[in-house]
Amino acid sequence: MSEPEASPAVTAVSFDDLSLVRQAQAGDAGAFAQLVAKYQGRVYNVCLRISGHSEDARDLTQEVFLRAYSSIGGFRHRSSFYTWLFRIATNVAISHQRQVRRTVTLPFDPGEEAQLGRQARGLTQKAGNPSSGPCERVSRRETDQIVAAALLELDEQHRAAVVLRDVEGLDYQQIAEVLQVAVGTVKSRLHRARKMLRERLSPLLEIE
Amino acid sequence: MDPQQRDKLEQQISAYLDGELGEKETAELERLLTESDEARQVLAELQRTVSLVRGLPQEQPPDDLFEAVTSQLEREALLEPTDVGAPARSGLDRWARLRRFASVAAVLVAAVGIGYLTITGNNQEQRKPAKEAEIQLAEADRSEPAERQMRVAAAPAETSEREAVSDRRVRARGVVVGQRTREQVDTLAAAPSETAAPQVELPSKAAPPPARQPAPKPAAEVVEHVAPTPTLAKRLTSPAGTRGDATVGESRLVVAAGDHVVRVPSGPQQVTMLVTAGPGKPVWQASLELSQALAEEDVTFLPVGPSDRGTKGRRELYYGGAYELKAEPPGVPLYRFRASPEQVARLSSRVARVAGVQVDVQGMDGKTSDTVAGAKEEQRERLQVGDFAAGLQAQRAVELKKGVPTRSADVEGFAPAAPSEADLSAPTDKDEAALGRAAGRQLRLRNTAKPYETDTAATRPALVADREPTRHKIVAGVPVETSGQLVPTDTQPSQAAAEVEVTVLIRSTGQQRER
Repeated sequence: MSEPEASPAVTAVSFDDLSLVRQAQAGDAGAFAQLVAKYQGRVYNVCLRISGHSEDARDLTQEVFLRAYSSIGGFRHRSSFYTWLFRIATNVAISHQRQVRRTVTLPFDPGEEAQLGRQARGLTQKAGNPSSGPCERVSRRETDQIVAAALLELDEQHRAAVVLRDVEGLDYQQIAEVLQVAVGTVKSRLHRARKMLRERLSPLLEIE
Repeated sequence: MDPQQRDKLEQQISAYLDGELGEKETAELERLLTESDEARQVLAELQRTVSLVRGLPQEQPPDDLFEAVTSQLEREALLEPTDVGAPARSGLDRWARLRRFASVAAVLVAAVGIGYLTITGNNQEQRKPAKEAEIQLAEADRSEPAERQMRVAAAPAETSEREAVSDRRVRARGVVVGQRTREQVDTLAAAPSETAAPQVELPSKAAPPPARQPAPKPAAEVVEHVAPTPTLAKRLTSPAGTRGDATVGESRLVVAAGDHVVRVPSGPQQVTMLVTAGPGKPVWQASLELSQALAEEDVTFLPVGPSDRGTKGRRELYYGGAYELKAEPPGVPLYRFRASPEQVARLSSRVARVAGVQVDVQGMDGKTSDTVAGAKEEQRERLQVGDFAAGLQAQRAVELKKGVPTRSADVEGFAPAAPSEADLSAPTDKDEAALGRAAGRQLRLRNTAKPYETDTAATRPALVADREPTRHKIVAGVPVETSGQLVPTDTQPSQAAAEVEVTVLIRSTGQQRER
């Protein structure tokens, strides 16, 4: 049995965040820029999976860091910085989704799916790299599209719980802090969300 | 197992998969899993569901995200006080903080391979200390309501009210001139100048807007960097929160890239872009390409000339203007806009390449015109792009006729002999005729025998065809790249205006329009 891996890394990351956050709170905008560089990818992915649109995700990520910057003075270190940041991210993204309520088209229609496949195959062939398994990549890409679309069919609260757990890897306690709900609520939301996802993805589950 | 029990089981399994069950609950569940096929079935399905979601790829954020965030943060720091726990700071403190922010951001940007920031170069002799500028502007502010001082840069005095309204839509855009990095600019900005600061005067209440300069400005115009003090920031922000340029006395303050502010003499350099369409090169191709390129460059443009004759006049221009345009040498005014010299170069070369027309830029500083002329060389190797773009333009013509606001349309009758992507990439004469019919005019697609693959990916139009026997859907993407290769490299930053005012004239040496 190997040594637990997480602790030293987590400690190092937390310490790093702590010092950067304190510098940012003292007015060091460069320290905040480092936090942006560190977390922009994760925040972007949270926004992307909740909003379902890359352009929206880009704008939302900007908004998240703006809000974080303007309110970092009020951050009291009661939770970790990234928990606090993700709280802003989910709030911003959920709020945006409620305003937009975009119609989501699932590529479940066989015709459309086939077309997507053809397009992707064509592009892959044009790229001229057959050794990297174009069919597998196309198949994987189609699967990801279907899963992402199914995710978007969940309501925002359930979607956020799934994203934080299965995309971001937060534990229930952290999710509860981010969403500001009880751990039991997190558990129940994840359960309901996965149940809905299981129903929507049943064709894929059978294939696999 | 009744539904309620099953629901509870599923919830337990969900938590089990996340490692969030207590020891006792885990033991109970694992025992149940050894006994119940149904429980194992639920576990398997949930496991697959979770693995599908967890298998979603981590998408890479856009390359420019970091720069966009930090630029926005700078802007926010510039515009609004934050509750960052430091005591109240003076404008200089804030600016010093911003400069540190910018330099750290620049290092980080370089480190993550996003690129580096460029900013307008300046004439060091004309600089003044930030504090001095702030004092002057603060004094100015006290003497004039802020909202009246707001003036969007692109509104010449004689433009109509409608044009002025359009002009007000000009938003703060990144004007990047010259090749200096932000750090260089910051260093320069921090250095006090020995020369006296220019007097800043505000227009009086009754003063009319500054008149547009009729003649081109001399090349050696001074572009001066201005420290974005809070007072200045306020001036550059309308009550609605929109950023814009402001006119102060003889100078115009322009919000440049990353919200750095530069001062340029009011009355921009006048530049003429003459678009000449030859035989077989309809002017509407050029005008459409230019309008699309302007939109993609975020340049607001005003239609001029034929719009005076109403919708019909403009339709004539788009669809068959060759006949009428010949009657109006040197050309018919088409658009007016303001843009950086680099943008003008990109726009010119793009229109020349894609629409296959000649574009001459007159009145530009440095070698910009030469660079545009150089693009004609490049045009030769990209003839296919231009030719194929003609097909795409045919499709756009169909859209226009149908009033379809999107950039895709069904083109009936486009039936390649042997449908394949390769055929679509190299249109035949038959395709040409079909596309021409669809577009309602004759099209000339030259060099169709050459394989399309000689083109580069960067310039290749995105083309997807859905093949059915008689109906083919063509979806065309942005057909060209606007490469930095065409940007003049030897124009001196200190001699380049931040913006020039461009009047586009268009004419045709072609045949009479087809009816």
